[in-house]
Amino acid sequence: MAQAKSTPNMIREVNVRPERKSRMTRLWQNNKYLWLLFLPCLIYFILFRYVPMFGLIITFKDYNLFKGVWESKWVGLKYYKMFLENPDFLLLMKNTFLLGLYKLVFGFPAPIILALLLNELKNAVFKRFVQTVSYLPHFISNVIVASMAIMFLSPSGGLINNLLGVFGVGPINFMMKPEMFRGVYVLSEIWQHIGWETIIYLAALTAVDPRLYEAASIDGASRMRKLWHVTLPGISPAIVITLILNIGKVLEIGFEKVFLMQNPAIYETADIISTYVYRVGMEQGNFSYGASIDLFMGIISLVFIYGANQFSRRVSETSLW
Amino acid sequence: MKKPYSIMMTGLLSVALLAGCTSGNGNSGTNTPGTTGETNTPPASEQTELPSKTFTALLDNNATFPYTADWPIWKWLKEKTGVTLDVQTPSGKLGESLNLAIASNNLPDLMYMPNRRESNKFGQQGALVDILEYVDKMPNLSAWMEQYPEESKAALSADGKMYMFPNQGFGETNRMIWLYRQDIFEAEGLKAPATFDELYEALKKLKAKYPDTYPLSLRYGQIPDEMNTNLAVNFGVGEGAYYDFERNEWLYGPVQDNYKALVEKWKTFYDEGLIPPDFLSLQTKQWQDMMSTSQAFVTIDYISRVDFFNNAMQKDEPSYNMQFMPPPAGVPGVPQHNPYLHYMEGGLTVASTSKQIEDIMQYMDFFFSEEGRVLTSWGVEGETYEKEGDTYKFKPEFTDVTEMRKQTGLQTSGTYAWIDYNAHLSLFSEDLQNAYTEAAKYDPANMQPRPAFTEEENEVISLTGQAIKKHRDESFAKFVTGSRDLAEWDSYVAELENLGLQKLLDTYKAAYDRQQNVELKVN
Amino acid sequence: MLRKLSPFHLISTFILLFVVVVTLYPFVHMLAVSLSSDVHVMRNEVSLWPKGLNFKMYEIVLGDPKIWTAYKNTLIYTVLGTVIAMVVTSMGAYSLSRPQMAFRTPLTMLIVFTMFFSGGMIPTFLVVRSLGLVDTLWGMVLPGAVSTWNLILMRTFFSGIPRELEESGRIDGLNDIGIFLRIIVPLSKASFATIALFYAVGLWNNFIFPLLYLRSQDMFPLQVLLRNLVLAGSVSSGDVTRIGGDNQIVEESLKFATIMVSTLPILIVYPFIQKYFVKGAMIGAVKG
Repeated sequence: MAQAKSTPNMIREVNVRPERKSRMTRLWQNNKYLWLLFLPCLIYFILFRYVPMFGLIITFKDYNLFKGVWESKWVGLKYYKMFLENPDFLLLMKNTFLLGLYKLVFGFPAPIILALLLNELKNAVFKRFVQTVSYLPHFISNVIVASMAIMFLSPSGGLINNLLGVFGVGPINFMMKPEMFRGVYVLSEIWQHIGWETIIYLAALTAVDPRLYEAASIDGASRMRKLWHVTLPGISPAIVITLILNIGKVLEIGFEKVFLMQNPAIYETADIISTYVYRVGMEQGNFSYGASIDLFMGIISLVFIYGANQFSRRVSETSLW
Repeated sequence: MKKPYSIMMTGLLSVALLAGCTSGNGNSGTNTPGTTGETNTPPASEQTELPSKTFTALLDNNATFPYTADWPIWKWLKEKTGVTLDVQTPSGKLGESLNLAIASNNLPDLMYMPNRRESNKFGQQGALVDILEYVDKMPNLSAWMEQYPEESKAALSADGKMYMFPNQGFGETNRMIWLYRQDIFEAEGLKAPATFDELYEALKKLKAKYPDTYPLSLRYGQIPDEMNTNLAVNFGVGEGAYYDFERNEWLYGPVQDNYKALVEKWKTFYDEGLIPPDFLSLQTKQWQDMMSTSQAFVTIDYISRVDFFNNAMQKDEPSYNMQFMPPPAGVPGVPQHNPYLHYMEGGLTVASTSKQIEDIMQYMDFFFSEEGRVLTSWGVEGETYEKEGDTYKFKPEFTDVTEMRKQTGLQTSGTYAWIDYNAHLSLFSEDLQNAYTEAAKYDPANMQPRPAFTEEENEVISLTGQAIKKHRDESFAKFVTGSRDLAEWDSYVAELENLGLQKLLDTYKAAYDRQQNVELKVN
Repeated sequence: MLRKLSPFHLISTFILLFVVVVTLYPFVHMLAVSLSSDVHVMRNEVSLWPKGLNFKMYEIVLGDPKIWTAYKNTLIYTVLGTVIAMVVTSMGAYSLSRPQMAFRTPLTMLIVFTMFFSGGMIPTFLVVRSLGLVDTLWGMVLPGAVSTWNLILMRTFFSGIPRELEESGRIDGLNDIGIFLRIIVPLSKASFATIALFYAVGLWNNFIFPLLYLRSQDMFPLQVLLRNLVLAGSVSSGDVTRIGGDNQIVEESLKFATIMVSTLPILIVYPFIQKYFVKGAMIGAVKG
């Protein structure tokens, strides 16, 4: 019977074989080059990011550096409890969150606006000059920036107060007023990083098709309309992705600068989680405590970025994943 | 001092013999018996070729006198002990390099640690050797410990072991004093104030004469703990938990009545513009500028500032005269004292994984001998110093302390334990020498005890202690600037007590009692 | 087009000039202080122009023989590190940017995950050590081969390249690797330049890797040598002990001179790569 059917069947089988091929093989055929391109990256992440994650276990142990991670004593949730039961916990969380939020709300649009302004410049020399100069502060270390900021704002001879004095405004003791801290910090951040952060948007702007501008001009669009309908949509993937990433990082405020700019008079707004950890850690050099807090904050940040990404998926075409 | 020297020689030679006999496990550079004539040399009094040894060491590196293997001090130490150090310096901060070395279980033989908290922690984790176990073979250290029992006790951990070599002498450099512009005071007919009230009057007069200045200026924000300590001691209390020697108990300074007086005084200064309104955030540079340009006339800082300012300013302004000022008494009845800050917390430790522990102990013993003390303070006679009768004097090419240290490597990390501070004094200006002499007159009778804490105790201090400290600092700022009314003082005291003050004091007491009961085992 | 002085131009120019002044001033000030004599600096007399012009500080900084080794090391680490990073990152970013790549989403999620969770300094150090990379050149350039941030950004750039280009490549018989190398890379000059700059600056300024992975002094890069100098005398140097009178106060002018010496070389890279920021790089490709 097989033989009677053989010839027509064989033809049919030959046609059938590609579909019976396993899904895995098809997957491999289609993706092997892409996976190959991805391979070095994969190796990197496994080796340098995932393997060391065994270290997260020290958050459940009393880490004895000499004996090592595995030999250290197990303490369970002790350090997490220590952190959550701290009387200042809510205040620290609030300060960290608000500082990050202010930085996001004011600091995120700033480089975009600067990039757009630069983009409108016709004079190439001036454009290059402004670009190059504006990113200089990025290279100044936090230590110097904090020191400079404090000196500028000093009520006894600082530049800002001298200027205010010209307008008859009395010297303001900026660094000792809790309500001023967030503003001062965010402004110092913008000043330090705005030039550098425009670079990515300037690069994105080069990818916008100039013919779209020409078409818009022919339609009689004004500068503002071109901005709204051509430029911004053109760089929106860069904006959206950077925004999502920044939302994920909102709680991750670099400790160094805040530490240098804070003092007891402004703890109520200026003391954040990382500076608290530093002060407490100073007494003990307790890695486990610091690591537990990092883990805790990491989970919260993950929730933020997940939320931001989901929102972005619904609202736009761009998202992180 | 021949006897300890020949004992040491015998010790070294016998150890060399022993070490040479064991099959090669890391004893680099040790002579095996019979290879040279050295092991057969009788332990005589004259200087013979010492068996050379090499130890690995992690030492700190100060940018002002960066480490170099070419320093004469290394040569001199080799001549006296036969030891060469294979030195590693931190590629970042010392603390981090220590953590990494210990975590990787790849410890250098010797490690310099910045304070006892670190050495006690690592020692109790098992990484360091208990020096007391070897002290019976270290005659110099044993004698030294009898001579300086307080310093020795301070080097003990909570479990009664000694993980870091004690030190004495170099702490002098950490003294903090009141300083004032003597020329300005004299011009205004003012004399150095003996009490805070007199200080207040003097500052007011200066402010009236120079309204754009802030006569009293401190680097308060930069070194708050030190500043707090200074002020608190002026008022007869401590800045945190402190031991009251008269009442024999541990008290907390910031709730005492005298402390309230301090806050009140400070608030007055603030309100009347006698101190800069941003004293909490003032940067070192700003303060330096104020002191140099006569925008401020009185300050508290490290004793070396006398020369720091005078040397820089007198070139162009010969009348500029910054001098030691006796510490004013806060309230009547309190003695005029500066805090006891002239001690040093850092020192060398020995890794428990080292294969040459006994050799290292012998090496370190040298530093506690008179000969070692002279060598590590002054260098070599004829090369770096001359002796005039009983006085030592550096050769003229060493113009100041920094130059001296840069060129010789003396008093750099890992090169000393017991120092004759006259070595530094001899290079200071007369004004600074005078400051030291005067400062000694205002030392408190006793050093504040620095007991070592167990892990549980450390946790209390870091958590409860930090919470209390933060509230103390915040309240100080608020009271002084006026955002909180001083009438609320009692509430503030209650708030501190609610944060666990008694627990904190009990912790200190327990640690202190434990330290007092330890018998320093010598020989 | 007539050069009208529109209100927009006025405001824009004003804002940009303000930006220039505000960002340039501190740098000029630091340069001036680094070239001034210490007495004038102490007296706070220096603002924009050096007083008592002298090069003493630069002599001190540049006179240290170790600094030339450090410069050489930094250059090697930066150049090699950037090349490696660009190769790994661009390949990874491109593959992730192709919607047809299987497992793309979970892989991206796993990568983003590492931005929030890390084993910590010591476990990472232990892993690197077990790979035998401590105190080697590779220990300085491999652990930083991929920055998640840069990877995501580059992926975004690649996503923006029109599909027609990829399709035309397939028609020509190229596989994904061929498309990447022959079509995508030449068109992505701006993004390559940008991300390369980010990596280069990151590597140049990096002091964490030397701190963790280097032991021999002759392998130290510039940042290690100079950072200690600048931090000496500053509260945040992290060494809790009261170093007190032993801690010499580093002169401002010396601090600033070291900053100039360590950052000027990398600063001047950007103006050179600005030529890659040319608009309309894509059109030619699509048309042609």
